[in-house]
Amino acid sequence: MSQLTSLPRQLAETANIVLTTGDAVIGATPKDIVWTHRKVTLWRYRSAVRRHPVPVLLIFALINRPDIFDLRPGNSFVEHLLEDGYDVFLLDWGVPDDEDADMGLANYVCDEIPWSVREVLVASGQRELSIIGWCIGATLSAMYATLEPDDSPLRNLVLLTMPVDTGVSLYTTWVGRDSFDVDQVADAFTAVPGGLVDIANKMMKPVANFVTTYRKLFDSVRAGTANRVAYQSMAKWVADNPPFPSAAYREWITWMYKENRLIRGLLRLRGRRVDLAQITANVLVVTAGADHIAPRHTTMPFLDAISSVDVSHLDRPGGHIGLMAGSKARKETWPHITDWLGQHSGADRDTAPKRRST
Amino acid sequence: MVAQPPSEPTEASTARAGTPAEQIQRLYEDAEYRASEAMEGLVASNGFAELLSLLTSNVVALIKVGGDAADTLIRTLRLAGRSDVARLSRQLARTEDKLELVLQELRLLQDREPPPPPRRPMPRAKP
Repeated sequence: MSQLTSLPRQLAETANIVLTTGDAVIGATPKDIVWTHRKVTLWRYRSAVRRHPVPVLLIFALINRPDIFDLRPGNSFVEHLLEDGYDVFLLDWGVPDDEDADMGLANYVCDEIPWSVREVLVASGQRELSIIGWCIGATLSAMYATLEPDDSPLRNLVLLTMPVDTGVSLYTTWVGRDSFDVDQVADAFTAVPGGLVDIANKMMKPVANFVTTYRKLFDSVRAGTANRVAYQSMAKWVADNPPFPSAAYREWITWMYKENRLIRGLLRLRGRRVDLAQITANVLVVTAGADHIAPRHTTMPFLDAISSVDVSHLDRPGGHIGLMAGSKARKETWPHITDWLGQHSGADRDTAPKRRST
Repeated sequence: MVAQPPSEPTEASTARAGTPAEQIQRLYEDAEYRASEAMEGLVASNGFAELLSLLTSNVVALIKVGGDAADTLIRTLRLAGRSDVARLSRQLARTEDKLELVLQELRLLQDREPPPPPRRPMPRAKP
């Protein structure tokens, strides 16, 4: 009987948590604007205990906001980096709109990333930097690394859940087929609505995303273990989907999923071939065992394609986002990344042992 | 083989089964898990992918027809519409692109230039 009487309160509390998600505070770590161009902003987070001379530049995907790097106080990868003594910069793609329809992959890889790298070096007063890319941001970072000349300022490249060889993947099944008319979508929208991309992503695991998430929240409310702040911060981030500029969308779907150009060495940006063998920076690749968006097998061929001598691969449990933002990330993923970065971020470039490890 | 009569529930098995509410919860979770597996199999099929392609095409076409009609209406009323705002914004973006290219050239020149010698303090004029 007591269960029945408490049911309305539990339902109301669950609804309240869901309905007030928009009030959650995310991306709260203080930061300064270093540089802007169009909708792109380069942010800087200042560490009070800076120990590592090599600054870190964070690059996220185009289809969600980069706040996931700094989700909430107490569970923020940015905080973790700052506490570990890094000078941290974040490349924020902003929220593109109709006027940014002409932003293609080349604009991101050949302009925005190199320009922000230059500004990071100027602002930090250093000659080298580390880049941490995640999802599409990792792929764009890898593309940038191939285009850099020999005197590249890129010392370390950390790539998280990165799609590279998309030959066999659910996305390819959906959008790689001839009947999916990417040109029709890109022509109809100057900026493909983020909500459409989000629905497609959620459709990959429909029951888990549309039912289980809310059922688990209700269960935790019933058990008295609901973590309102944790749920709302993640839910708010998941629901914040900026539009995908139509040129970038068309190129991403066509080149990566319909033609799988990157791993085949057929991708060209502004006439320059994106050859993964040109990558010589120290590389750490992180994959997630339960990643359904960029499954491990879509990333692994990258390790054989690059020329770097110092290559490490870290495979962790978790999903595409949970790997870095889940409750276990703080203990199971972040320390491994900062340990690796620490070994490769000394004043002397050659201090870290050169090896390939998994 | 002779069927055995159902045994009396022991204390341990009762504890494992839990209350009726817990049993219902477990049954529901089991059903949800099975539905999840089935749906993931379904969305991974070629048939679903084909249907998704057609649905996307239809939805996009409908949105485009609606958008074009709205644009025509706004233009007929001689009001500034979204496309006009986008056109102005695009011009601003191009200007910003040019400014950025100038900044990058400046940065390159700064890299090439040797740092200026430190300034000597100006001698104070004697009274």
